Amino acid sequence: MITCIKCQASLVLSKSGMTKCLSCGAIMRVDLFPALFREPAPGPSGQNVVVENEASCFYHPGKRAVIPCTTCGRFLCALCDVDFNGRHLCPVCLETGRRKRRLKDLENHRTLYDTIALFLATVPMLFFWPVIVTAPMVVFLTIRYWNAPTSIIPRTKVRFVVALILAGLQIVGSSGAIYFAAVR
Amino acid sequence: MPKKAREYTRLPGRGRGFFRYNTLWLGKDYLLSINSKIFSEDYKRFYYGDIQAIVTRKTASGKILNILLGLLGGFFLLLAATSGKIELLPILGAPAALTLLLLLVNWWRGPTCACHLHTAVQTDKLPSLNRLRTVQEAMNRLRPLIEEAQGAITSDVRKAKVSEWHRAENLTSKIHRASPPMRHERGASHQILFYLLLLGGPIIGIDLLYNHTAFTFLGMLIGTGVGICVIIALVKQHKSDMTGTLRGITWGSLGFVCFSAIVGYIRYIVLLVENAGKNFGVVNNQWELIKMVSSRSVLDSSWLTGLYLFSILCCFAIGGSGLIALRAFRRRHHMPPVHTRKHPSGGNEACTT
Repeated sequence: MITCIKCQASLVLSKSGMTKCLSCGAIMRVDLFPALFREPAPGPSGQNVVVENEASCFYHPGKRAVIPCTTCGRFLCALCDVDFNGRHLCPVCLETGRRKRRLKDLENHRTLYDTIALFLATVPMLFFWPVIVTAPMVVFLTIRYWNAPTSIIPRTKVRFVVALILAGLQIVGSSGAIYFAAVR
Repeated sequence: MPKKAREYTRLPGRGRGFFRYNTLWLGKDYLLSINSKIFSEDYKRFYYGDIQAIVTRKTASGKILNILLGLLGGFFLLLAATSGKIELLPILGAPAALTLLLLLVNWWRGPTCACHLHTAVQTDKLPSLNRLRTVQEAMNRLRPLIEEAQGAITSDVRKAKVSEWHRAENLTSKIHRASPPMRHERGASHQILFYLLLLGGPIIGIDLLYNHTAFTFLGMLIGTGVGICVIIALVKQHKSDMTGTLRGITWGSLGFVCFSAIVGYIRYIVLLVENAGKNFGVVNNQWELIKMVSSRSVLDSSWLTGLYLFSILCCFAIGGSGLIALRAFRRRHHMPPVHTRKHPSGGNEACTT
């Protein structure tokens, strides 16, 4: 059942899509989809092994194997089989894939190293002297994280390139300034 | 070489926050919500097969922003018009033009809304869909994908499910009807608040025309009393059977109290800055401060005169309308007004006549 997003009272749904909450009077547009009207499908329980020497699940020896894991090849019962983007994975491979970032669709956080590098290459220029420290940091970040994944939305490496050029100029400029200050 | 297909397609709209923004992207089999901070991104996926409903509620924040921008723009325009100096025109005209431009942009973007996505186990806000027009555009692109993933459903199944919900809803409302009614509020604190406001009007009027410490002090006392009463009234009316009009007037009183407090504070700061070189000791002496305020004629400043007249108008308008609304509320509940009488034991007690 759909509830009012303002007062949490349950909404009386109409065909038109526009619904008025009987509790708080808020008028809402409600777009409904077939998933709302379907009963949730019962979860697989896994069949027990009935015949001797029948292939059984690697994790549940008492359950009948139904499919091998796409990654490691271990036999899996219906309980252990995780259908993920058309691939059948065992829980261990799923967890490993998530941890090692092999399964892109399971990632829920990414650090944008290219943005950090660009920030460090531009903002300290306003105060001049911090560039002595930040320019080498930018070079390190760019080299260290050149191949690291950035945003999940594909983007170019232009931020890294601009940051690297600016950092190079800053290093040359600050070295020159220090040299002239030392000579004088 | 064939062009590589794009993995994600951007949906219109962008939800802005403090150093963060939110965008929505259409993936192959899910809707991706990206919450971008300065140096990182957080992702949330809503699979097309799991989305049960998308609920959109129109909000007033766009209108409020329009009013605020309009007032601000009008204020700057008024300042520019009344300054009488040609050299000040660009200085005052530029913020006015900028504010009015922002007003136009906000008006053009259309009404604001809050959009929520429902699945079987969660209800999540979609911050990027914050305009009705954006929601419409996004839904036009999202609906075919969701319906393709979920397949069709027969109207019989749909009707049966809806009638089942309605039966459950009727049962719930019956239970609600059987539950005790909302707390009844007599409105004594509201009555005191509105009487104090009506009393405050003439006091401010006298203070405007006649400079005396006693009236300034009395005005301050009434102002403090109104502030305390409005807080008590707001607490008392919470989850009570009080009418919406009465509640609105009480909230209006709070707005007026806040406005008066801010204006009064600015006035004191200006006076202190003006007298900083002459009499610095006045900062630590409240009585001297009141005397200094009362010694200044309000009529000398057109701004202060305007503010005083506005305050008088507000006092009478809020106090008068509040008492009328309170009377109507009590008449509906057949409740006589509250009076205080001397109790034989010596204390005061509230009684009804």
